[in-house]
Amino acid sequence: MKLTDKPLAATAALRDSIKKTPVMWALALLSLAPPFLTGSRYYQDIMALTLLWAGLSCAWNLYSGYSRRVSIGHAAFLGIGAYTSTLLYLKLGVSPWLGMLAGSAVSALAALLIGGLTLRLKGAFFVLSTIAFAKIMEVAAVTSKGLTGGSQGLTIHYDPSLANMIFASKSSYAALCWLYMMLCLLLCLWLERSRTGLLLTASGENQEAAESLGIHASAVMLAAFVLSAALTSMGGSIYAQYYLFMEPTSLMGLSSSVNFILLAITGGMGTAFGPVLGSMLLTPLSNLLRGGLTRVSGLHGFVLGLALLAVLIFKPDGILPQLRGFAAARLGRGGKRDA
Amino acid sequence: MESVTQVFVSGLLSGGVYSLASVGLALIFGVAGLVNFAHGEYLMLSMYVAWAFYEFMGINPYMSMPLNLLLMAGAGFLTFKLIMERILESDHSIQMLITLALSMTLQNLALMVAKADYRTVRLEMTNHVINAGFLVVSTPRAIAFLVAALASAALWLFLSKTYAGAAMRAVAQNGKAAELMGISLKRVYCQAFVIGITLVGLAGLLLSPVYPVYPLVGAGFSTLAFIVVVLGGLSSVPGAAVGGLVIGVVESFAGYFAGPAYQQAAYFLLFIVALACRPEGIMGARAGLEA
Amino acid sequence: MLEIINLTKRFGGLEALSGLNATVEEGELLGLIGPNGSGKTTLFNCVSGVLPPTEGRIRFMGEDVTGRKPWETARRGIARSYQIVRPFANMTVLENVMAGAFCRESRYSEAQKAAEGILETLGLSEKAPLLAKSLNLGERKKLEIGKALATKPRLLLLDEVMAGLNPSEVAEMAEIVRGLNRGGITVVMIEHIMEAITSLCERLIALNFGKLIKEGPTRQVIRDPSVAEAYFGKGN
Repeated sequence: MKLTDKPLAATAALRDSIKKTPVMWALALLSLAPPFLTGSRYYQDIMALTLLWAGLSCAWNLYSGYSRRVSIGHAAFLGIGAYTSTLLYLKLGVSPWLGMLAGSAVSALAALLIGGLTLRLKGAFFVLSTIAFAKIMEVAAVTSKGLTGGSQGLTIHYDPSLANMIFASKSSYAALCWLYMMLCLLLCLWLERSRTGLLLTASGENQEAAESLGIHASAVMLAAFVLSAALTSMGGSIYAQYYLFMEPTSLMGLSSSVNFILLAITGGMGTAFGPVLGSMLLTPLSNLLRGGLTRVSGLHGFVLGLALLAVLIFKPDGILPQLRGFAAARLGRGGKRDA
Repeated sequence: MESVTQVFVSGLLSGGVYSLASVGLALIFGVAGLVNFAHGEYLMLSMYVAWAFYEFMGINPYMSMPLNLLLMAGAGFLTFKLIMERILESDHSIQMLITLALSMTLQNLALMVAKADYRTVRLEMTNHVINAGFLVVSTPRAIAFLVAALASAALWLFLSKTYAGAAMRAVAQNGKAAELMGISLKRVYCQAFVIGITLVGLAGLLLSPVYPVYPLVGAGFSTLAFIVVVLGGLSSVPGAAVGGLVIGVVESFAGYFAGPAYQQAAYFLLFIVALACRPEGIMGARAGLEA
Repeated sequence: MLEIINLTKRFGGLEALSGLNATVEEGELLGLIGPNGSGKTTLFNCVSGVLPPTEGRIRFMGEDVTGRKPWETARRGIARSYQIVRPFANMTVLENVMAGAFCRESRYSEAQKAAEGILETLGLSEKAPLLAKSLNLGERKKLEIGKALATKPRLLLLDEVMAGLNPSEVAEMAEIVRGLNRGGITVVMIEHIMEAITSLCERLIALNFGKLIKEGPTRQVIRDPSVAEAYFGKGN
C-alpha cells in the first residue's frame, strides 16, 4: 500500500492541506473580512487583536507545540520585538518595517544564546528557565529607564503613514495582523510536512532515540526555537505599532507569556490551525468578558480562569483534535492521523 | 561592615519564610510528582484569612493560627480532590498550565471578594524591633523565622521518625513498589499535598504582620518557591530549606548593592546560571525524597 | 570492521566494562551473551556514542570513533535498537521510520519512499498510518528495528529484540535478522534466548563483570564451563 505516489513539493503540500482541512482554511482566509464589514471600532479592535494573537500563538507553536517543550517565556521575544523597532523609530527615525526585521535579528540572537543554555534541560527545568529568562528581560526593561522609560513606558507619537506602520483605521491594522497570522500559519504548515518538522517532533518526543537515528536533536530544536523567537518578535513590533504604547510588565509579564500557550492549548498544540482556532475562541471571549463584566473587577478573569481549568482538565489535547476525531469517526478512519 | 551583617541577617530572616513556603512545594513535587504553580495563591489565601480574623474579630494572626491552618488544610484537601487527583498522570508542563489557570482563578476570586486594596494587619509589635547593638531585627520577622525553622524541623521529624512519613518517603522513592507493599498511593499523595499547602499557609500568616496582602501578593511566590526547589535539588526537603535561605540572602544583597528593582533579576540570573552548570540542581540527587 | 581496544567504562566506583578487547568482522552475525549486569548494554552504549568510555578506543571502518556523539556514529553507519523500545509514540509508524530515513535522504518524498519500503520488508505496511503508541510489543520491536534500518547502517546493534515475544514472533524476528545479515549488514545481537542464538550466530562473545570471558564459535562458547558458571554460579 503506497500512501502517496506523487512527491510532496511545496505547492502539492499546500493543495493537500487545503483538501484535508478545508474548513480551517476557509476560517483562516475569511477572517480578513469581518473587520471591513463592521464600522464599530470596538469590534474592529477585538478582531485585530484576535488575528495578532493567532499569529503570536502560531509562532509559539512552531517550537513548543511541535517539540512539546512548553516555553512560558515567549513574552520576552514579544518585548524584544516591540522595544527594538520602537527605539529604532523613536531615536533614529528608522521605519518600523525595518525595525521589525532588526528586532527579529536581535530576538534570534537572544534565542540562540538562551536556547544554547536551556534547551538541553528537561521537563519542569526547561519551563522554569524560560520563565526566568522572561523575568530577567522584564526587569532589564524596567531598570533601563534612560532607554525604555522604565515602568512609565514608551509612547509612540501618532503620525499615520504606511512607512511609519501607523494607520488611522483599525481595519488596516487588522489586515496587517492577518498578514502576520498567515505568515506564521504557512510556516507551521510547511513545518508539519517537512523534514525539519518531523525531526523536531521526533527530537521532542525522545531526544536520545532521535540522536541514535542520526538526528542532531539539539541543533534541530535550537533552529526551531530561534525561528519561533524571530517570528514572535515580528508580532511584538506590530503590537507596539498598534497600541503606540508599551510598558514592560503588560508586555513581558507572566500573564502575557501564558496567553501564547493558553490559545494554542485550547485550540490544540502541535497542530497548525490549533492556535488560530484557539485565538478566535478565546481572544474575543476574553475581551468581551472584560468589556461586559466591568461592574465587578476580577469577574472576567475568574470566569476565564474557570473556563481554562475546565478545558485543560477535560480536553488537554485542545479542541481541534476533538473536532478532527469527530470528523474522522464519521468518515470511518478513526485512529489515523492526517499529517 | 556593620551594614553588611545587617543585610545578611535581614536576608536570612526573609529566607526562613521562603524556605517554609518552598519546603511544602518540594514535598508535593517529591511525593506526588505534582507541579503546583498556584502555590503562592495559598499563601495569599492564608494572609487574607489572617487579615479577616484581625479586622473583623480583632484576633491577631498568631492567635488565629490553629483555625487558619485548619482552613488551609481544608483548602488543600478540596484542591486535591477537585483538580490534582485528575492530573496526577499528566505531563509536567500540562500540570504547570493547569495550576497557572488555577492561580489566575484564585487571584481574580480574591480581587472580586476583597478588591485590589492593600490590607495590613497592624499589631502593636509590627514596628517593634529587637536591638542587639550592632544589629537591629524586627520582632515579627524574628518570630516568623523562628516559627518557620520549627515547622521545617517538625516536618523533618515527621518524615524521618513516623510511619506516615516513612510511607511518604517510600512513595517518593518508588511509587509502584510502595503500592505493592500495601500503601495507598492516592492517600499519600493527598496527605503530601495537604501538608504542603498547610506549610505555605503558615508562611503566609507569619508574613501577614509585616507584609500587606493584596490579590497578587502570591504571584511572585510561586516562581520564587520553584526556583528555591530547583536549586535545592527538586525533591529534597532540606535542600529546599537551605535554598530558601540562600535566595533570601542573595535577594537582600542584590537589593542593597544594586537596588530593589534588581532583587528578582538576581535570583533568576542565579537560577539560569545554576541550571546551565548543573542541570540536576545544586544539591544533586534527584531520585527520591531526601529527609 | 569494529575494533574495541582496552575499553573501560566506570560509573563512579562501579566498573561496568574493564579493559575489554574485541573485534567484529565485516558481514558476520555475532552474538553477545552474558548474565544481567555483565556490561553488554554498556558496550552498545559506548559503541553507539550514548556514553563516552572512560578509557580505551573504539575504531569503526578503520576510523577512530571513540567518544563520538550518537548522531555522528549513526551517520557513519552504526545503528542500534534499544532493549526498552523507544518509539516516537505520538507520531505515525511511517513517520517513525522516516525519522531514521532522513539520516541518508533529505527529500521528504524520498524518505517516505524508503520508509515505506522498510515497513514492507518488516510486514508493517498495514500499520503505517497508525500512531506508534497503538502498536503491540511485537510490532514495537519490529518498528525499533525499522527505525534503525532506515539509517542504512553497515553495523546494526540489536539489544534483546526478542525478549518478551511469543515463540512464533521470535521465529519471525529471527528470520528478519537473518535476512538483514544476508543482505550485507553486519549484526551484533544481545540475546538471552539460546535457541535463537544457536540458530543465528556463528560466533559468540561472552561477557561477565565487564570482562570478556570467552569468544569463539557458538557451540564451543556455550559449552564452555566458565560461561555456564557465569550464568548459573559455581558448584553445579
